[in-house]
Amino acid sequence: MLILSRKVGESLLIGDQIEVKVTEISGDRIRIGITAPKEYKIMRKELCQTMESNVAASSAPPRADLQGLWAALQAGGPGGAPKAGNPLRGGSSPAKAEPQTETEDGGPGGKPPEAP
Amino acid sequence: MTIQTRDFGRMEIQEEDVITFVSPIYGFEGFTRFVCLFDENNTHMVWLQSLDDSGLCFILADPAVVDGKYHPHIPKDLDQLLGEGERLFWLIMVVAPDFRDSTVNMKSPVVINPASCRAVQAILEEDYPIRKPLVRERGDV
Repeated sequence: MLILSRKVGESLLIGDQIEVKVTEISGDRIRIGITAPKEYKIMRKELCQTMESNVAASSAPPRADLQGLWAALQAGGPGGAPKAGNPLRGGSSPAKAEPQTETEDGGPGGKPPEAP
Repeated sequence: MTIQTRDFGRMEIQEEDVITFVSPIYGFEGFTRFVCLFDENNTHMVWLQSLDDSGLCFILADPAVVDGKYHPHIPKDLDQLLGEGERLFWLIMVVAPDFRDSTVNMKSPVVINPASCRAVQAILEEDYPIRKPLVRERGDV
């Protein structure tokens, strides 16, 4: 990987059509301006990786694998066929946004938080 | 109403169970209406079934399965889209041919507000893995 030092306001060129300019530095964040022809798609790497991951996630896994997953995820083993509904306001609501206090059964694989 | 699901045939759901993505699942911008399918015996997994395309379904995992202390900050603009209410985090799972190699995306959780039935996929600024092994690191498997 080529590594260059640049100050705010300085830029570099990639080929003769792409310019990358450091516009602002604040703490550990750097703002970058990019000038490039329209045909170049520019996106944050994590966005691109998330899209790829989403596409991979959308392909149907074999049911047998899911049964294994269920068993692995919960000591109780695979349950019956899922039913329609909203788990968010149903009997259980795992993964709440509030900070989860570390309790004896709060770790990975532990019981989900009780419904409010 | 009755819907067609990818994995469970036809199912009956309630209109109030429909979740609308106000910021898209990246790569699936045209699909905004989903419903969560779940099993009462397994609250760690949810099937996020599209109502726009019966063939589109994501499997989500409870973050507590991989990280009991997962409560990341949602970027402000996305947080505002969700409206008043609590935020529930779910991780999109990539189920591998061998389920033990399955991963979850901790960097880009699905965040649902159960009060408004709105959801987003947030890309966090915090440093979380996009492919976090779901099972391998658990000691009991």
